Amino acid sequence: MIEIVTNDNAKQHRQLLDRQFRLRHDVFVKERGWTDFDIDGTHERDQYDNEHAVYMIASDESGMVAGGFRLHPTVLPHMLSEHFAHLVEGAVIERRDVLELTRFGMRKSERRSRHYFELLTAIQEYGVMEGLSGFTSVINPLRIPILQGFGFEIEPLGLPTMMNGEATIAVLFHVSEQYHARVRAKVSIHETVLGATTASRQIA
Amino acid sequence: MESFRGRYFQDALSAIERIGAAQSAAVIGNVIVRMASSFGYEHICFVASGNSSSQPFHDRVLWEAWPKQWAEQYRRSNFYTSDPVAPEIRRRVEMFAWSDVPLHKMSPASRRIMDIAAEDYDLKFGLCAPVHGLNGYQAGLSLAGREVERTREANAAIELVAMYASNRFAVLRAREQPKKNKEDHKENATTATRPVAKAAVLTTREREVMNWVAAGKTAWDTSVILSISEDTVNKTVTAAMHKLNAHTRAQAVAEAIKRGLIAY
Repeated sequence: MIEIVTNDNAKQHRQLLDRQFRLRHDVFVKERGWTDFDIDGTHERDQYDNEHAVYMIASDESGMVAGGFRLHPTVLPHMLSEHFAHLVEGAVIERRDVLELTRFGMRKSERRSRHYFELLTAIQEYGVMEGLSGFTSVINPLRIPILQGFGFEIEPLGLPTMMNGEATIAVLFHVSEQYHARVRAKVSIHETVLGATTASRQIA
Repeated sequence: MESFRGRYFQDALSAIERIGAAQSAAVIGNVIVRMASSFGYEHICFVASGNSSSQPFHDRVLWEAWPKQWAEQYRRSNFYTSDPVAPEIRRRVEMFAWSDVPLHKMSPASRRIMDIAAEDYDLKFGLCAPVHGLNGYQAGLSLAGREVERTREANAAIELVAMYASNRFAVLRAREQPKKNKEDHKENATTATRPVAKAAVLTTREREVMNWVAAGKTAWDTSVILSISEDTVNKTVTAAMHKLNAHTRAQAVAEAIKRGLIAY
C-alpha cells in the first residue's frame, strides 16, 4: 500500500513520515554516505523537505516503511535547478505539469519486492491522476536499462557525468496512459496502488 | 552558442530518437555505425547476452559491421572461446577499452587474437559498452578503429546510445514473439486440436480505438480522429475491455499490449 503524504495530511501521518526520514538515513547516509544531510544521526533531511514536498511511502500493515520517494514542484527552486543544473543541456525544465522526483529509496530487504513494484507503478499512476507529463530526476545512468525494462520511457536531459566518483545523469520520466499501462504489465499490478488515498481525497 | 558538451549531447539525442522510431534492426545498426564513425570507430559489433551460454555466438549478434574477413576468421577459428574481451564485457558494468584488459592475465591464445585484430585488420583501439538490464548482462557494444576520439564526452554519448539501442532491439524482438507463438499454436492445434482458449481477438475498430487509448487520447479526441461518435468510442472501449477481461482502461491497454493486439 502506498500513502501520499502532503503538507495537508502530514499531521495524520506524522509517524509514517518520521519512519520515512529514518529509512532515508539508513539508505542515503549509512549506505551511500551522503553525510551532508544527516541531521541528527537517525534522520536524513534536506532543504527540499518543505511544505511543497509530496511523499509516496510504501508500508505494510505493521507500519514498517519499505521505501518511498519524494516529489517537488519544478516551478519552485528545486534540486535540479539549484544544484545539478550543470547536468542539463539547455534550460532546466520548470513546468507545472512536471515534478522533480528525488530520494527514491528502498529498505535493503525490499529491493525487488511487491513494495518496489508498487512504487514504480505509483510514479505513473500518480502522474496520470494529477495530469502530469513527466518527472525530472537525477539517477545513475546504469538504472536506465533497468527502468526501461520496467516499461518506463526515459529521456536524457544531458550526458552521463561523473560526480564525486558516481556516474550521474539528469533524465525526464515521461508520463502517459500508455506508459502507465506498460509499467503495470511489466510488474503485473492491475489494481490501483493509491486506492486508499484516492478514496479519502474524493471524500474530502 | 552551443557548448562543447552540448554538441555531443545533441548528436546522442538525435541518435536515440532515431533508434526509438526504428522498426528494424538494420535502422538501429545504421544509426550506431554512423555515430561510431563520427568518433573514428570504423567497426562495430553489437552482441546480445543470449538465452543460454550454449547459444552460438553468431546467433547472438544483433548488428555487425566488422571487417568481413575478420568476422569470418573469428567464426571459423572459434575465436570467441578465447577472446579476452568477451568475458570482460559480461563482468564489467561500465565502459572499458580493450587496453584496460590486463595483458599479463591473457593466455597466449587470447593474446594472439588481439594481435591478429590489431595487425591484420587494423582494429588498433577497441572500446566496449556493456548494457545491464533487469536480468543482469543484456548486451554489449564493441567498437574498434585506428584513430579514435577518446574524450569523456564521446564515450558518454556512446554509452547512452548503446543503452537505448539495446532496449530497442529487445522491443523489436518482443514484438516478433507473439507472431511466432501464434504459429506454434497453429502447429499444436493440428496435432492435438487444442481449443483456442482465451485468444480474444479484437475487431479492427476495437484495435484502432485501443491504440488511441494507449496513446493517451480521450474518447473525444478519438472520436474526432476516427470520425465516429464519442458514444461509439466509449462502447467500443467497453467491448474491448470485456473481451480482454479488464476492469480499467489501463488494464485493457496493458492486456492488449501483452497479447500483441496493438502496436505499442
